[in-house]
Amino acid sequence: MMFVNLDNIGFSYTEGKPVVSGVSFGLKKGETLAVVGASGCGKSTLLRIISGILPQSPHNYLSGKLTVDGQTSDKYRRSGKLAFMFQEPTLMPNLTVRQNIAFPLKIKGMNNNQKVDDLVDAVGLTAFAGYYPSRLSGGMKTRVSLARSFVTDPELLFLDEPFAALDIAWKSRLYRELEKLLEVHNSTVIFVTHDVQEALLLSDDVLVFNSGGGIKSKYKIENEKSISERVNDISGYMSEVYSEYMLPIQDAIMNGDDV
Amino acid sequence: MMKKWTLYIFLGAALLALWQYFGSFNQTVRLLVSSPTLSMNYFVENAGSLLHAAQTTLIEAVVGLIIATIFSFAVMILCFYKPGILEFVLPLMVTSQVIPLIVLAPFFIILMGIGLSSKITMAAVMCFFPIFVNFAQGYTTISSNIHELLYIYDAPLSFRIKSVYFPLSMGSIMAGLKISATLAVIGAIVAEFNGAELGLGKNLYLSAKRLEPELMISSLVLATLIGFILFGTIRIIELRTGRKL
Amino acid sequence: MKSKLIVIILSLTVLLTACPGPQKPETIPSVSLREEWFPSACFAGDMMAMNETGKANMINIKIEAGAEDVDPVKLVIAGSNDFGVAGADRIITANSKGADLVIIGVINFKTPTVFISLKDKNITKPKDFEGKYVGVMTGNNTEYVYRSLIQKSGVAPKKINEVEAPFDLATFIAKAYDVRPAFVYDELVSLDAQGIEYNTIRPEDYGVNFIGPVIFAKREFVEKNKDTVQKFVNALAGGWQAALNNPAQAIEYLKQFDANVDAGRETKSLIKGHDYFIGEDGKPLFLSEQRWNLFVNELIDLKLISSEDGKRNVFDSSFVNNYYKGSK
Repeated sequence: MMFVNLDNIGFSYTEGKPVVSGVSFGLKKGETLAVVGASGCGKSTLLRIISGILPQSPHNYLSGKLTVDGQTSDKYRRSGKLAFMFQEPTLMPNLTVRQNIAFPLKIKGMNNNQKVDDLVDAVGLTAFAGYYPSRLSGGMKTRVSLARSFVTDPELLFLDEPFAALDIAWKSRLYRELEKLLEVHNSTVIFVTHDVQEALLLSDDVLVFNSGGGIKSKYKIENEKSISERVNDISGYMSEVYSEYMLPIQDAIMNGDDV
Repeated sequence: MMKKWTLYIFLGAALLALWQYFGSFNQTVRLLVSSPTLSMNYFVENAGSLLHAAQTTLIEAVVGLIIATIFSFAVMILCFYKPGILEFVLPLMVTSQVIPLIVLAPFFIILMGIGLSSKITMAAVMCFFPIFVNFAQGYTTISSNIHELLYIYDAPLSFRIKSVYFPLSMGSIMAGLKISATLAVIGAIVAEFNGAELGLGKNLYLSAKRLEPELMISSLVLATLIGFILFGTIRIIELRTGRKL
Repeated sequence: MKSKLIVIILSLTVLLTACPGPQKPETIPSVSLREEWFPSACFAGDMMAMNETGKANMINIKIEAGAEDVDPVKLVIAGSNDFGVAGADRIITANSKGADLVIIGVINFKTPTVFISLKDKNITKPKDFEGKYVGVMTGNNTEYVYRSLIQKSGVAPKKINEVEAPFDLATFIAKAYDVRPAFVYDELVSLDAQGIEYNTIRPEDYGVNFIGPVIFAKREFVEKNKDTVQKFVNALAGGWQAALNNPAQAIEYLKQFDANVDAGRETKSLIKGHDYFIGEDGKPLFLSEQRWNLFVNELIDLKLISSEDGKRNVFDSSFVNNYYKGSK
């Protein structure tokens, strides 16, 4: 059985043009899925639908069937097994690095200093644990956000263009950190990105969205290399996957109007 | 920095000298604004009663400010539990700020007499709106991502209010409190204008009616001092509780 | 033996029950008086009453200060105070609107309102108002005195530039206008203290018959508590006599009542107002029916009250008359 299963999902904010339409796919536990497509094609909305953030208003309209671990998305969200990393780091400005990472635990009324310390170390911010976000660089904030996403040991992790604002050096570092965290926590990941190279570096599967909010094409990345292996030899890896995945995916995005 | 302060001191001294000169040699000026030395002498001679009046006005302003703060927080918490209330109430509150609430002072005197309660009520009414409106504005500027983050982790409303809404709105709340600090003093004084047993407002009223410029100046200085004290206290609280946002 | 004991006990019981017990002290009535203004010299007689003559007349008097926006008429009507001080015209107007108040004593048998101008303006009679700026406190008793004054003096109102006079005396010094109303024992005291010279126009010199503040109560209260009201009036009339004889003591009591009072200023104020507090014929609180009628007719002439309102029985001089009969 698929861990995440979408069957003909459609969504609109009001009675009007749907933002997402006819989306169907399944994701096994422990897999990483990348969702790519042109701007405004509904990728982030899809993440919010699966995570249960949407629908939020009675005016929103959701159709189709969606299950996560056999439950509705809302029920799964309440189980506390998912985490969401936003495009902006979304740190609490009044909390330190350490406190921000521990924040989801605090919401649950839990305390696990060891785990928080481990995560601070994992993202290389031990020396900055007492700093407030205003003193952090963009990359550091992203690392805090990443570490926070793992503090509750999520089964399912959503990443909404998490590394978009970073340069390639930072991205490479964070890809390796993400891999380490995934090794420890074994989360299933769905992430949205504009960066096709990033999609190919991090994921097992890639979905290409069209401008109508539906799936244009799906790709299963048949490559046994780990993330760090891919990252350590980016040019080598990219040349391996260039013709089979990179080109068609880019082409599909460029011609996103065609279904 | 030193240059700026030197300039301020120089300017202050020059103004005082001018005031002393005209206050000493021009009867009309003396009768209208007295002179520094006359005012100082008056203050020294009547320090007891002046400070007593100042204490009354200070109590009215502080208690009014505290009541307004508690009340506005309570209304805001109610709005968190029933979001529809905020949507309905906030535009009304913003619009009501154009009403000169000062006109309510005589009404409070009639309702509550000339004791402290009418002054405290006036001060509280003046303070409530800026605190509430600022708090509400601060809340509405919390990013939607933070709301989503709280939703993802199913944060209970009490947690959100205590750990997110209040702290993240603190900057706006403090801004509202700083505005209200001076409004509290104004409210208390204007209410005293309309009728009081004791207070700086009553002093100002009588000093105008009875042509006692020294009383006016002394009361004015004390009223300004009270304003500074309240504003300064809020600022200290802001610095102590605020984080580098 | 036993029967003898019973007889003794029974006799003692009869004796004890037959004897009258110790006399219960008569309950001393307590009343409250709401003043029209802040604590000042116009409280002098009331202060003496509260501290001395009230006790002598077996009545407790509580004095409550007034203020700019505190209305003794409303407070007495509401029952918050037993007695109040206010302008007589306000009592007549309140009765015309359905209140049933009665005046039991007159604090100023002639109005303490005068019209002042700075010395160098040379405005010494009402006719000099023509072409000048005259400050008028609209809606205030002083406005009515002003209107009566110019009417009786044959001054053409259209030739006067009327402006709203604020309470702020500094505007007078700054020559924002030429003439303004003042109380003999209030604003004039302030001007004297600053050494400012001024001309004074007294309305009574031009046939104006206005009276000053009066003491009033609800008629119902007066009729049900005649004895208490008499004690009260006795205490107050006696208090005013004592205050005018010993201003320093009266002001001392005032200072005890409100520590913020400027004793020096209020003593001067009491002395300056002597001729107004002394009462008609030298009897504090006393006003003759004749003088009352002149005042009422003036209100009717000014169309401030209707003639029906003027006929209402609002002035009860019996209590004051009883005091002076008893003190002969």
